[in-house]
Amino acid sequence: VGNVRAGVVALLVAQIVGVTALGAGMPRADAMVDPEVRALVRVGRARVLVTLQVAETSNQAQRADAIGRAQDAVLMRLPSTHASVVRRYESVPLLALEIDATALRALETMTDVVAGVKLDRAMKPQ
Amino acid sequence: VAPRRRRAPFASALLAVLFLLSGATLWITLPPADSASSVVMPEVRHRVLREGRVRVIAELRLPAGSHVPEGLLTAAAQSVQRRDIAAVRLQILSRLAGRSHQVLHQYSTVPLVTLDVGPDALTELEASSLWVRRVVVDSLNAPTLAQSVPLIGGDQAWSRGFDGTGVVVAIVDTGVEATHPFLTGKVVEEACYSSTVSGHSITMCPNGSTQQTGPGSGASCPLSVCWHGTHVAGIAAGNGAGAGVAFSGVAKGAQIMAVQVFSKFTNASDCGGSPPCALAWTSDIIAGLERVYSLRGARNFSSANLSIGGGSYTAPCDGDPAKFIIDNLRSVGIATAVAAGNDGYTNALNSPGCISSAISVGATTKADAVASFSNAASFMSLWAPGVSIYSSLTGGSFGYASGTSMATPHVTGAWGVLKQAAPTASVNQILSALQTTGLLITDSDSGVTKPRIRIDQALGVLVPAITSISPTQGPVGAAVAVTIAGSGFVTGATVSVGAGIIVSNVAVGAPTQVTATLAIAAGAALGARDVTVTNPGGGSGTLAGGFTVTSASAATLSLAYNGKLRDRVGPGNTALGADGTLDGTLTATLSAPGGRTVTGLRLDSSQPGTWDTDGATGYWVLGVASSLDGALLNAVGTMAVNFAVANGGSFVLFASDYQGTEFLSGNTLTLTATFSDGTSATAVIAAP
Repeated sequence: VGNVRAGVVALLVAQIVGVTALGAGMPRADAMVDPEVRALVRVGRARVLVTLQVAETSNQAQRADAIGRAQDAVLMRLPSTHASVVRRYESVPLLALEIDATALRALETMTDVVAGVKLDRAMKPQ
Repeated sequence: VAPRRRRAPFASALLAVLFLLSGATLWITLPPADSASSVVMPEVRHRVLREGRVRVIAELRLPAGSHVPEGLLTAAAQSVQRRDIAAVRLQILSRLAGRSHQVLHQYSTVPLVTLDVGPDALTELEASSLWVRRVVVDSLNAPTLAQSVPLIGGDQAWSRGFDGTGVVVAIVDTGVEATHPFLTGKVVEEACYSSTVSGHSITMCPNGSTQQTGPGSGASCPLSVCWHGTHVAGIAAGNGAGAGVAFSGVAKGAQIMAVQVFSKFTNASDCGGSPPCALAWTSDIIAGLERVYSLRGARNFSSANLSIGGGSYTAPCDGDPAKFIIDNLRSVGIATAVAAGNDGYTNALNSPGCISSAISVGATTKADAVASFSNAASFMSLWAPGVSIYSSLTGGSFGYASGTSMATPHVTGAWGVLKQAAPTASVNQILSALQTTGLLITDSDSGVTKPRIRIDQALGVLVPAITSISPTQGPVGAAVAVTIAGSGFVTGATVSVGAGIIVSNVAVGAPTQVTATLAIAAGAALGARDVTVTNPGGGSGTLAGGFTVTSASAATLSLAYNGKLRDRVGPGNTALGADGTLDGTLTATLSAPGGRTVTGLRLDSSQPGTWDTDGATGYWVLGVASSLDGALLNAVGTMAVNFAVANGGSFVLFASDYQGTEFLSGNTLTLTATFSDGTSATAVIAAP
C-alpha cells in the first residue's frame, strides 16, 4: 500500500523518453501503439492488451462471435514463435498477448482489425 | 501532477504502520509534524502542560531513511533494519535516563517506541531530533467501522430494512479469507486470475494455474500484503454478528464474490527494489471483472470493488483497456468502484479510477476532512471515509488501515444497500442519488468539491415514502381522484392499489406529491388496500391499508329547469344539431362520494314526453354537455354517453320541445341517470 510506483514503470518512463524521438517518423504506428510497448520490445518481450476493431451490436451473442473472430484473425496472422496468448475475452474487444518486436510489427500491419496496442500495466493495492 | 502541500516530506502518502500489541494486529496512521523545527506535536505539549504526563508514540529516525515494510525487504535487509531500530531506540532511551518517563512498548520491526513522559522527558525528546522524527499522542482508536458506517448513514439504512440482503458485491483484490468470522457464509463465488510471466511474476492462484474458478479459488494470496482483500471485503460487507463484534460493514447483509487478481512479482525493479511484491496485471483485472459480468444472470451483483491502481492521470483516461469491461458492467447495472489512489495528487487520479465510467472514490477522515494521502481531481466521483478503518484481516483478526482502498468499499457496500432498495436502478440513477444527497466536502489543497456519500439520504431519493393519501376511501364503481403525499417521488413513478383498481393519470407534481385517478371496478373487493408508489429504479414505498374500498353508496341527483336557453338538439332520436327551436335546458347535480361515471340518461315529462341517450329506443335524443355551451357528450350515431362526474359536479341537458307543452310551468320532470357500477339515481322537479 505504498506510494512508490512499481519499478517497472519507472524503467519504462526512461525508455519512453528515449523512444519517442525515434518514433517521430512513424505517425500511423505511433497512433496505434503505446510508446512504452515499443520501448519494451526493443529489449525483449512485452505484455500487451490489443484493442480489436469489432462492430458494435446490441446482440450479445453476435458481439461475442465478432470478438472471437477478430481474436482469431489476429492470432492467425501473428508469427507464432514471436507471440503468445495471455488471455482471451468474450465480452470485450481485447486480446492479451506477450509479444516481441516482430510480433509488434505484424500487429501494426493489421489496421483492419487492430485498433491499438497498449501496455498491460501492473497495478498495486491502494 | 501536483502533490498536496500538506504531505509530510519524509513519509509516503500512506503511513500505515503495523505493530503487534497484546496479540492483536493494529494499524495506526501518524499525522505529520506541524513544523520543521519541532518533532513534538502541539497536542503533546498541551497535554503534558495540562495533565503533567502524557502517553506518546515516538517515531525513530533511522540512519537509512524511511522505514520500509518488511514484506518488501529481503531477509538480510530485514535484519539490518531491525538492528537500526534497536540501535536508535537505545540512543533515545539512554538520553531519557534520569528523566521522568516509563517505557510502555518497544517494537522490533517498526521504528516506534511508546512512552509515558513528563515535561523533562518531553524536553529531552524534543532535543533529540537526530534520533526522533516526531512525537505524537498515543491516541485511542475506537473500532472505526463502528464510526464510519453511521457517518455515511449506513445504520439508518439498516433500520429501514436495507442492508444489502439479496445482493452480491464483487471484491477484485488479493483474495478474501472466507473463513474469517466477519465474513462467514458470505463468499458465494470465487475466481482467480493471476499470471506467470517469465522474469516478472508468478501466479498466486491456489491451483498453480493462471486462472481458477470455484470454491477456494478466491482465497487470500500468501504474501504479507494479502490482508488487503479481506480488509476491503469486511468494509463492504462484513457482518459483526457472527464475529462477536459490535460493528459491521456497510452492506452487512450482502454476499461476496472474491476474485484474486494479484501475482507475485519477483523482480526487484518491478517491486521498487524489494521483491517479492504483489501487483495485478491489467489483463488479469479485466479477466476478473469479465467473470463477474459472465455471472450476472446467476448472481444479483450491485457493484465491483477495485481498490487497485497506478499512474497519474489529470484527465479521464478513456483509452484504458479496462474501460470496455467497466462499460459492460455499467450497461447491466453493475457499478465498478475504483480507488482514486494514495499519491496525494490534487489534480490527478490513478488508473483505472480515471476511467470516466468508473466510480472513482477519494478518502476522507471521520471528521470529514480530505485525507492527506488521497488523490483528487475534478473528474472524481465521490468521497468516502478512508482513514483508520478497522476491519477484518487475514488470520481471523482485525486491524486498522488507511487508504483510498478503504474508502472505495464504503461506496461498494453503499451500492449494495441502494441496489437492494431500488433493484432496477441504473448505475446513473444510484450515482446521481449519491452525488445529489452527499455532504459536499472541498479539498482545500485542490479546491475540488465532491459529495461524501450519505446512504440514508440517497435512499430518500431512490425509495419513496408515503405519509398520506386523500381521500382515504372510495366506493366500488367510482373514479376517485387522489393526492398522495410523502417524499422521494420521482417523475415516472407508478401507483398501485391492488386488484380491481385501475390507476391512471399518475402525475408527480413534486418529490412530495403524486396525484392519480383510481377507477374502482364494480366487482372490486371491499376493504383496506395498501397504496404503493414505485419509482423508475424499482424503489417503492407503501402505505399499509392507506385506501379503503367501500360499498357503493346511493348517489342522489338534483335537477333544475333553466328555461329554453339554447338550441342544441332537434326532434328525432339521433338529431344532434340545432333545429331552429330553443330546447328545454336543465342542470343536473350529482351527490355521490367518489363521484360516478354516467352511462345513461332519460328525461320524462308528465305532459307526456320522453328523451334519452339511446339512439335505438325511438325516444328523442337527450343532449348532454358539461356546461351550457360545452360540446355535446353524446356519441354521434348511438347518442350514448360515458362521462365522469365528481361528487357535487353538474352537467347540462338539452331536450327538444316536442309539442310545446312539455316544459310548461307545473309539469313534472323526472331525470334518471344510470352509472357505470350498475346503480342509478333519479331526480324529480316541477317546472317553475
